[in-house]
Amino acid sequence: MKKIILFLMIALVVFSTTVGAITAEEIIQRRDDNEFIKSARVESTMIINNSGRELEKKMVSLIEGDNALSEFTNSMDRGTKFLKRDDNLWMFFPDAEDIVKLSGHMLERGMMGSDFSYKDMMESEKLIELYNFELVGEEEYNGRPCYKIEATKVEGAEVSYYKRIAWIDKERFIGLREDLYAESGRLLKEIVVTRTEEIQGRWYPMESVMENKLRENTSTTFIINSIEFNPEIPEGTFSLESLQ
Amino acid sequence: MIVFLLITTTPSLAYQFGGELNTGVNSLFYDNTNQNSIYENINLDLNFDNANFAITAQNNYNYFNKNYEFDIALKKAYIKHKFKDTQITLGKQPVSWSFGSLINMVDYSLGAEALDEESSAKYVNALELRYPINWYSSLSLVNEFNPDYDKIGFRARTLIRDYDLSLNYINKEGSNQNSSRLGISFKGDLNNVGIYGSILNLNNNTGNNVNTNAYMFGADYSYYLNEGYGNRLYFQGEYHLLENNEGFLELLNSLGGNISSSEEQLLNSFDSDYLKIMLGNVTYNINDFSSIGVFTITSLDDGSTALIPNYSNQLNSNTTLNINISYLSGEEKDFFGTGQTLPQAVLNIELSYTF
Repeated sequence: MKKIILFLMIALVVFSTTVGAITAEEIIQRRDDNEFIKSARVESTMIINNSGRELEKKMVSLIEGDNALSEFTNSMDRGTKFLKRDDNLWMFFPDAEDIVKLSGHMLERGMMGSDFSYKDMMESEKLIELYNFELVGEEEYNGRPCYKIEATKVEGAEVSYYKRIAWIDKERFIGLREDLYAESGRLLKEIVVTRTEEIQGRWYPMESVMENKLRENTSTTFIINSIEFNPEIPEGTFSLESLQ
Repeated sequence: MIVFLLITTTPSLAYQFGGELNTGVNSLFYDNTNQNSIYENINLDLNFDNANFAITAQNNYNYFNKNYEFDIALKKAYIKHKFKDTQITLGKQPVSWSFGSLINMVDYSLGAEALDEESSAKYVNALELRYPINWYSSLSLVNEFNPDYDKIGFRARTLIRDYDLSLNYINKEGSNQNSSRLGISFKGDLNNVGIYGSILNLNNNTGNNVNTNAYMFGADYSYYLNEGYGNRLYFQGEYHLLENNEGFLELLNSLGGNISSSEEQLLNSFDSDYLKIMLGNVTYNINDFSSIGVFTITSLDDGSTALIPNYSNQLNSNTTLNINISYLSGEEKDFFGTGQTLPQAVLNIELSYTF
């Protein structure tokens, strides 16, 4: 009888452990459910800080799958627009009303002088499709219990960073911090989410700060002023004609 | 049609208003003397969904001859209207067929992008019809209204295997000049290098019927320091080959403005079959706010060069400081030479404020 009870207890412990365990992929999947955008309309502000000097850029973006259309509204860049279709980026210069296709190498560049590259802003695939994940621990970050996940790029995947370490809120499944590494193991960038909000039933990072670790005293704060998930986007929005 | 457009196109209530205020100093250095002038100019833009207006006003005071000039000009004043799939724009508007080159010989207006600077040549009184075929392909037809000549332009643009391709045709007929240009351009990527080019045929039938061909090939590349994630060094180079005959004089406007030599001198000074021009641009981003670079344009026939170092610093969200120096290395007879008309060097310091 004692053996049966002991067996049942062990089985219960094993069963409950199996049910409770969550894999790195599941965590990322749940994070993607929150943070991956199928379509959205976003109004945002970028504050670029360099040794105490600040530049502010504002933009309105429409996003749908791999496509995005952004228009800058701050005075310095007013009317400048970007159209992203798959891996191609087109730019509209408002003064002469020119549309020029940007060379691929320009996508590595900091977007409008920020620490976010065009590629950072344009990567539209789900992380789960680009990286192999490993749950390396659980830590508290900024008072929130987090899963610590290490991601290494899938061979052949085209990504900006070889490795990422992410702190993901255990309750809300939203990334609170992410360190981005080169293949050499060198830390390149650090993104810290400073404000999150629950919108239309999903947690989303509304304010984050990116620090480029290869430059001194620079950071870019990215603030989402408003976001609407799955808005109605008219047909033909993501076209060269709509840039004009 | 014009009346119909004016009646049916009422500017929408949604609008954007803004502009730019520039102030600067120009110093021109000649062999024996130099001239300094200060200037201020303001650009005002008022954009509605279906109409755009822009004016520019400039004050210029030349210390050398104590001359004061004021100029005000309408830069843009046009309305837009959409008939089914066709977009129509009517009025003074920019017509620009850029594709990323430093100099564009297949542009609607020649000289519109000389030395990568915006010029008033882009702004014309015209009716433009644009018909998009799909998200990346379109047809454009431009009919310009000018008392001195009749000019039409046609452009077909598409994307094939991620290469931006266009076919351009421009025909201009006036009392002084009849000519047509037919050209193609492309821009795309070859691994990590951006490549582009154009082929142009110019037919000048003003006097003798002269056919001139011009070819261009260019490339650009970014090198990032610190394992590819640090500051950027940007390189751009362009090679132009112009068939040397009477026809090419019309194309010279695209190569950095009027050269000190007369047209006849120019024609006589080249004994090769082709005029060969090389352009280069190197820019280094010092940080998020400032960059330094140098732009060069060289005649490979006589070795003369225009050298233009530049520095730009965005002081805050609205204010930018630009410093440019232009230096001509050639002799009077050279393609980029100095002489009676052109200074040896020009220094421009400008502060811009946007609002």
